[in-house]
Amino acid sequence: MKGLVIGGGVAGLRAALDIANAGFDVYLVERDFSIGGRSAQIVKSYPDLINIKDVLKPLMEEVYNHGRITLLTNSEVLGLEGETGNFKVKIEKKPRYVPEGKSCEKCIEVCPVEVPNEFNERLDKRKAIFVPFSYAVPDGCVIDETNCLHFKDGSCSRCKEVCDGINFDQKAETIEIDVGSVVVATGFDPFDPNLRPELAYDKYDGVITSLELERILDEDGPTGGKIIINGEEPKSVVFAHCIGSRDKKVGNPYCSRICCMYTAKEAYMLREKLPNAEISVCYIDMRAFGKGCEQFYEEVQKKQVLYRRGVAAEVYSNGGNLVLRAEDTLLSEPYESAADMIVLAVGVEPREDSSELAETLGIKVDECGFFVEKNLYDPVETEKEGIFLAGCCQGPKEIADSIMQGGAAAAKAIGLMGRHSN
Amino acid sequence: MSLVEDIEECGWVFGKDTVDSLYACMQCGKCTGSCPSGRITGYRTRRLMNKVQSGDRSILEDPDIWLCTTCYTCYERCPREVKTTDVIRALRNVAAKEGHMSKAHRATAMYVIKTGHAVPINDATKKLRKKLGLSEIPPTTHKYPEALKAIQDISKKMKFDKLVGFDWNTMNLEDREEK
Ligand SMILES: Cc1cc2nc3c(=O)[nH]c(=O)nc-3n(C[C@H](O)[C@H](O)[C@H](O)COP(=O)(O)OP(=O)(O)OC[C@H]3O[C@@H](n4cnc5c(N)ncnc54)[C@H](O)[C@@H]3O)c2cc1C
Ligand code: SF4
Ligand code: SF4
Ligand code: SF4
Ligand code: SF4
Repeated sequence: MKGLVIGGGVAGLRAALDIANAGFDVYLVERDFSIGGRSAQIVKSYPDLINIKDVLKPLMEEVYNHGRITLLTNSEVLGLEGETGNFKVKIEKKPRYVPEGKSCEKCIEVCPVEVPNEFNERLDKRKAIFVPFSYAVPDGCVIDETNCLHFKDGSCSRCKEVCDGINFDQKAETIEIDVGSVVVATGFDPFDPNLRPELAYDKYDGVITSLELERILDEDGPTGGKIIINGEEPKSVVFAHCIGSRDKKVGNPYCSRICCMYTAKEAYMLREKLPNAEISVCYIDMRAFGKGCEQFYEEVQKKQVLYRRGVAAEVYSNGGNLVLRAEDTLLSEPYESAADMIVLAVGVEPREDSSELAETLGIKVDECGFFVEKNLYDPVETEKEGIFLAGCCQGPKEIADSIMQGGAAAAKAIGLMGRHSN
Repeated sequence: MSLVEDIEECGWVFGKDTVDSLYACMQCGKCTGSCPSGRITGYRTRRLMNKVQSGDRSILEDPDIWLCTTCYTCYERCPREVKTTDVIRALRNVAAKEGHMSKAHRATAMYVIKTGHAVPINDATKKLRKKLGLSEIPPTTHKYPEALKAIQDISKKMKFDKLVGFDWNTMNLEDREEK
């Protein structure tokens, strides 16, 4: 009996590996060109400041090289029928048009099409033929057919002129597989701050999201790790907590759990790069409940990061200078903080299409769009036997918890398939 | 009766749910930080919610509660969907009942009783109306004295005149101790 894991972020990778290591064959279906998920966009983790790449890359490579794991990237689940122990799943595998593996990247030089680079949160451009990110798995170039001129109007084949490996004739295939269990680990999307227009995210380049800052902090990112806003190093930075979380107005009444601590981490990393900048954080209340987190919070405060209680109220420009206005709720006084850079700690939302996937699989979403577990004491099971949940698709959580839930979902899947195999 | 019950009663027109929404306030400060009045006055929306939550009746006498412009910015932005502005308006009803209506609000009420308008017509408006091809006097209490009489009767029946301290002899406000 075989297993299926949908989504190749940390939760799905852990689940696939644990199922495979227990002796079952597993399909891992990933929608993107590479596995890794959102963690690959993040540089270091809290509270230990470990390089995420050092944890994630080996996990990705182990999955890729595992004899029992069939990795289907650029693929999506189209349908699921049957019941526990005997699901029939239809999967569409789309082509990448370039063979997997290290590449010379000459094709990238000659490609005339430039589009915003999603991996770098659209802060820079990529070509229509590109490498998803520095440690992508599978490695090598891919063609994004929605932007490639060859697929638009046949007007270009420059990449093929420099590379024989490229094959425009590859077609999408539909594959049907039989599996005994399914682990869903499709992760999250960050909140779109335009839904809070008073924060002026769209209006000013100096207002960025926390995920954009992760990319700016990355040596492999769009600025080579330099902190540059509007062409200059910022002298003052304000972080704003709870953007799109704890906010019924935007339909997200929940706490996103990770943003208090990832903000502390980003403030710490920023302090290392900007020793003389003014750095402050607007918070409602501080949630530092994880192991080592309260201590890390204190460490960040001691790096002269000023925590001011009170949520960010609004952002505007005053004679060309960005200003964040808020109330210091401990002083009961509103204040205006001049800031060259304002970082919005955007919350965790379900994937945009989570309801559609739920319908395909026959599971439920809650009023916010997260997949619903059977109950909080069966946290990885769903009401549909044989389908399990892991990671942020079930609710906001950090990497360690996502990995833990991936392992728990795998254990349930292994138990179920073991019972059916006997 | 508790302060919130008083507010519910005096603010019945908004509904109990509107007033009770204030229990959900998490003291985030979004309202105060957004408040245009708080930019130029000492008025703090969040503190007002806090005081109402804790049943502090001294706010009924606090002149600050009359400084809200009812712009509804805080109401629009409150992440817990507290119906802030309506809570403030309902709270003012209680304050007014206890004799703490602000002078400015009393003056507005006086004009309503006297003319049927919170902002009665003046020469500039008359001129403007004429320029736009409208009748100089609008078809309101300004034109129909019987309608003004009806409004004054309603004021008496509802004891609105007593609430704001309107003196029918002088057609002006009675003197009250102002804070
Ligand atoms: C700004 C920011 C900073 C953060 N910093 C930290 C930190 O310092 N420490 C920490 O522990 N956590 C941090 N996190 C949280 C961390 O990113 C998540 O905990 C983690 O990525 C969750 O893993 P996941 O596998 O559940 O989901 P994801 O990482 O979202 O992976 C899901 C995968 O599923 C794929 N997928 C989605 N839909 C489908 C589909 N329909 N079919 C097939 N595949 C699909 C996606 O392409 C993706 O590869 C941070 C998050 C943000 C936004
Ligand atoms: S064929 Fe497409 S990917 Fe290749 S160079 Fe032209 S536009 Fe770029
Ligand atoms: S974790 Fe912190 S910043 Fe994030 S929603 Fe919760 S309280 Fe707000
Ligand atoms: S914005 Fe809402 S929740 Fe926040 S302090 Fe004001 S009333 Fe309370
Ligand atoms: S409605 Fe009143 S309290 Fe709210 S923002 Fe406007 S003036 Fe301030």
